[in-house]
This record gives sequence, structure tokens and C-alpha cells, in this order.
Amino acid sequence: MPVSADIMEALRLELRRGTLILAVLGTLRAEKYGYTLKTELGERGVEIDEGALYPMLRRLETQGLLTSQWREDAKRQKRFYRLSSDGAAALEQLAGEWRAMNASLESILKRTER
Amino acid sequence: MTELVERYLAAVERLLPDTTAKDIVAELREALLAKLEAQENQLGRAATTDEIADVLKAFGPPPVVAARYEGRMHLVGPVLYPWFWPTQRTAIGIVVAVYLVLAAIRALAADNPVQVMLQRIDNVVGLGLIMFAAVTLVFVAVERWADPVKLFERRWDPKSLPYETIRKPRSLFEAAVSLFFDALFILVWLQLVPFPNELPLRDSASVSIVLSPAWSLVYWPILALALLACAGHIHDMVRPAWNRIRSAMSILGYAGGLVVLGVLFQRRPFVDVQPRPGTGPEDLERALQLVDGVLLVGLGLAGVIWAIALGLEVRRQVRALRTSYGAASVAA
Repeated sequence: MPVSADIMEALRLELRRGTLILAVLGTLRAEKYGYTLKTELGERGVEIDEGALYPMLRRLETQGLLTSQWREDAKRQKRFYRLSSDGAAALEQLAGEWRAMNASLESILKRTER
Repeated sequence: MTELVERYLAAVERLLPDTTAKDIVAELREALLAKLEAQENQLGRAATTDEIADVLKAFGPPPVVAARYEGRMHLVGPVLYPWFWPTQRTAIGIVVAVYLVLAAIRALAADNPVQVMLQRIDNVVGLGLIMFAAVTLVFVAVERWADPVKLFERRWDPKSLPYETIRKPRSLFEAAVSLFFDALFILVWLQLVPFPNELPLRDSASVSIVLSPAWSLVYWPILALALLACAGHIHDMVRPAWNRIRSAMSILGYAGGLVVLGVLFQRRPFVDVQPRPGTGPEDLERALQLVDGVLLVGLGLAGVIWAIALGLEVRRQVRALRTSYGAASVAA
């Protein structure tokens, strides 16, 4: 019996949830505001809804991983985000874990494909 | 900035905690503007209202957007939570108000009204708690067995957002007090609650005041208008901000009230007076002139106020039509 579209969508969302944080932290090594961050993520193949992105940015800032600053740019006030020093340390650690997990998963997936 | 975007942001802001609302909304405004600006650059022209509505729809219904800023899990989740307390207050308020009015009617018929009323008031807390539990169960059931996010996304149309900029939202207290007096008026009008109609005059004389036959012509219209006012005040409790449906109800109410006044003014006097023992014909005539004069001034003032309110409400409708259907540019 094929897996229903709803179940697949839920599984896909669950799989992406953790990786999005990593993608956002990685992209914010350089300062960006919300719209340019979303655009850059999209160009690199990581699509994210604004509805999910902005609350995530706020949460990461509350956790001390990002810093933000309101500044005028192109005649409009924009909120610019960048990685904090704590965020940079967290990113380094998470990236290491991601690579290790990725290697393990690759090995598992290769075995199941055989 | 377009009117529609501002209405959307106002709807989101109302659902956010006061401490963070302004900051979150400022960022959402920037995000929406950037998105709309990019779309306009791509189109090479100003976005139409429908196109702006599509962008807002993709952004998500206000309760869903506001809920994303609330990370904790609840018995009643963040999507439904903004409706939880207003619904509780409305449901408990209506049940308690109806109970108290019915209790007052029974107390008035009793030998010792104060004692009977106090005994009835004892039950109010229990009644309120039962209502609270019932409403909570309904919310928990919707949370568990329906998908609130999908429910809102399916039914939501950005163009139906209330116009908070067109009229300040009504307070819950104001709506509840108005609803209480509406209910009391209906009970008096249906003669379920007696209305003291004896007017004392000098030298222990008195007269009974009764409505003139002209009122029987407008008996049902007045009842319908009172029920319409009730519906309007219940609407204010659930959705306090201005919207077209509520405005249409007000227009109907004010226009109906003016028609009723027109009928009554053509058939004066407004009341009849009946003598009580010891009251002479002069007293009768004086009492009739006094009460009719007071009603003439009172109803005349009501007519002026309703006419002004009708004009204001029609103006708001016209303003809403202009802002909603005109093509709007983000850059404008």
C-alpha cells in the first residue's frame, strides 16, 4: 500500500525541521535581513516559509545564538541578523554532529539499498 | 503601505502578547513589504488588491502566524487560544445575565424579593463553573479531533479582515453592558418584567401611564430591532473590530429606528393617561402634557443621534469599499 501524501508530508517536515536551523545559522555567518536570508536559502535549495522563518529567527535570538539590529536600508527600516559568538560555537558543534550523522546515515542507507 | 496589509498586521498584533507584539509586527511589516515590492518589480506595475490578498494568504491566517511565535504546548493550542477567553467570557456572561434576569422576575413575584434574589445569586458561581467546563471541553475536542490550522487556512480570506483603522474596536465591557440592557428591554417589551407605570402627582394624586395605540403598529418592528441590537452586541463580544456585517446591522438598526420614530411622531400623543382615585381632569391633562413632552424631547434626541450615527456608519462603509477595491501600490 503506498504511503499517503499526508504522512509523507509530515515525515518530510519532521526531517527538515532540524536541518533548517543549521541552514539558517550557517547562512547568517554574514549579516542579512529576513527577506535576503529567505532568498539566499531558496537559491541554495533550502525553501522555507516566512511564517516559519521569522519565529525561528526570534527564537534563535532569544537563545543568544543570533544578534539583531534595526537599521535603515533602501529607505526602509529593516532588522538585520547575524550569528553571535555563542551562535558561531553552536554552529561549529552542530555542523560536526551533522557531518557525523550524515556519514552514519549514508552507510545505513547504502546497506539498505543493497 | 496598503490598507489590506495594515488590517492583516492589526489582526496579527491583536493575537500577540503586548510585550512583543509591536516588535514582531514591525518585522512582519518589513517582510511583507519586501515580498510585495519584489512581486511588483517582477510584474512591472502596482499589485492589485487580489494579488496582495494572495500574498497574505500565502503568509498564513493571523491566528496561525501569531501561534508560530508561541512555542509551548497547551490543552488548548495557540491557534485556538485567542478565542478561548473571549468565548468563555461571552458564554458565561450570557448564561449568568439570562439567569439573573429570570431570577429577578421570580424575585419580584415573591413576598420577600431581596431574600429570594440573594438565594438565587448563590447559584451563579456554580452555573459559571459549569459553563466554563463545557466551553473548555468544546475547545479541547476541536483541538484534538479537528486540525485548527487547516480549519483556518481553508476558510480564511484576507479581504474579510476587520477594519481596525476604520473604527476603534469595542470593549468587551461596553458590549456586555449593552447586551444586558437589550435583554432587559426585550423582557419589559414582552411584558415578562413589569414596568412601573404610576406617575405620582401633587396632593397624593397619581395617574397610570400607558402607551398610546400608535405603539401597537410598531410593536413587532421594535421587537425585531431590539433582537437585532442583541445580535450586534453579541457580535461585538466575539469580533470587536469593525467589519461590514456588523456595520450593515448598525445601518439597519438606525434606519429601522428612524422609521419607527417617524410612525410614532405622526400619531402623537405617545402615551395615554388613566386616572387613579382622587385625580381630577386637570391633573390628567397636565400629566399627559408632561410625559408626552418628555418623550417628545427624548425620542427627538434619539432620532438626531441615530441619524448622525447612520451617516457615520454609511461613511465608514463607503471608506471601506474605497480602500478595499481600489488598486493599491506598495510603494504608494
